Amino acid sequence: MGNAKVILGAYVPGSSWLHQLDPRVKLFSCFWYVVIVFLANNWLGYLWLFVVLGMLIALSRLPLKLYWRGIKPLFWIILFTVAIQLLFSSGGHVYWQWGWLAITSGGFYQSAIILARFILIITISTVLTATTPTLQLAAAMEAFMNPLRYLHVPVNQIAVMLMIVLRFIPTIMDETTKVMNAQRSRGVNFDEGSLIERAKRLEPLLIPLFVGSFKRAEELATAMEARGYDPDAPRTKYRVLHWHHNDTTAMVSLAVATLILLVTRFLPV
Amino acid sequence: MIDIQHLSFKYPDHAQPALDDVSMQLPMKKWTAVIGHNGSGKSTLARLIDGLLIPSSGTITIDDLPVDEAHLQQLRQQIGLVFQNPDNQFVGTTVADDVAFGLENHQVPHDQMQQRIDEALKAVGMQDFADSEPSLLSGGQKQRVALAGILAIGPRVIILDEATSMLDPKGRHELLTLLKQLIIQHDMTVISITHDPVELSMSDYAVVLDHGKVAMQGATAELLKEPAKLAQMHLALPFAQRLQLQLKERGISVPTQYLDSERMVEWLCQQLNS
Repeated sequence: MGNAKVILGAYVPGSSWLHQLDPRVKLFSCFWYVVIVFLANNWLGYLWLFVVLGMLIALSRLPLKLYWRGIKPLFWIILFTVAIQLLFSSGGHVYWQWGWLAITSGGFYQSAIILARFILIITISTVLTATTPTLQLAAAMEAFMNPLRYLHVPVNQIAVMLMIVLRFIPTIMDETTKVMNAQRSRGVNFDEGSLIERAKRLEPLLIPLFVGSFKRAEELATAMEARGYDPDAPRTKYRVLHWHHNDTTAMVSLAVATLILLVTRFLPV
Repeated sequence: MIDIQHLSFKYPDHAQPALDDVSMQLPMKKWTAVIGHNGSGKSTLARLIDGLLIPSSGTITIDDLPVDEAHLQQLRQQIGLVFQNPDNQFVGTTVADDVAFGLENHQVPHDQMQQRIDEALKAVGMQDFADSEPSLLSGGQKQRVALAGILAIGPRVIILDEATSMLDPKGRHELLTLLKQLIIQHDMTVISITHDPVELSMSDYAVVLDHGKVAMQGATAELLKEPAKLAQMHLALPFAQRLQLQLKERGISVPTQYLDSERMVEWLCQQLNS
């Protein structure tokens, strides 16, 4: 069952309003939100962005703990970036100085902005991936790639490739475990020694995996051909996305949220 | 009838042809087993019949349909192939998506898809798994999904290319029983490329390939009358024939006609009672 987790990504099944939205709306809104994070230019703007995020989290009906888990792996990177901002930004009142390192009010301000942006962007991505199954995300991406057809981008082929990637992640993970166990039973120790020694030990793992994957690819290609797959022929689609009333509501809400953010830019705070 | 005339095929990097001037007539609406040891050209034959490989010389026609590049589209509609490795023919991220893959390729309109998927999954007894991911299925279940993917297209011929060889005995038995049922229900033609003596004994007609040539062909019952000949070619025999051979070796006279396991049991009982 461990593998099932990988393919599902961060998706948490549910039936909330957000879960039921069209994946295209969710993917676009997430992207849009990340863009408008950079439009906020005062604390009121950030406050508004946090309020919007809070509403989305509430709408997802998922526990807050889950969103904290999204931030945790990036904790050190965030801390490092915030510390750099704090020590190297200048301007405003100087609180503490040592050589060219200084903590200033400008530094505080900058690092607070960076921290806020990190949290906003990571959490909105978690909202997207936690409420949207991978398969639907892939369908949404395909939908957005569709106009590229006119630039002769093979959108259909990319879609099939994407599907195969998603399909085979657990299979290859399984095989990795098998090969690792086979090598372990022959005395290979993957967890000891220096970094270079460990990297060297990956060789007997990677070669069988590569060979196995190419063999798989060939067999899969034959099977796909036997089932009538022709990369250049038109295909119909089983998974069709449907636009519902709620999706329109979501798009209008997004527009309103953006408008409010734009207004905060001009408020004298 | 699947009519194969003077068929030869050589892989580019091999010295010996995989199939060498092979001719055979396989009956429609019957189960044909193609047996032979490794490298006898069995799998090559399956790929040639489906048009996945182009023969060096010779012709194949399926009823009136010639197997050539101009008719590939129709061929794919009429022939379904189930391969050996359950994992390497599963394309969709869920069971329903996998069955849909073939329908999408054949440009079946969207409004017909769900019904055809449901029916096909029901026919193979996998209707409760429509939304399952392949990693959660057993080998036998995956092969049944592969079969559903084929049934959804509605072909006349199903070719099993060692489709049961990677399954456990239970999965194998289930798949074969299911196939036998489907043939009767849908009037289908099955060609099973196999090592499995059970699959051989289930067939109506059999072809034995040896080093790219046809060694024997005929009704399975006829072929199994001479188990010694098959044993010479190192082919695994069905249980009844193995028993027949061993009884003969011990000087017990066994009837010369073909006996399946049931009739073998009957005959043995008669002998023991008399």
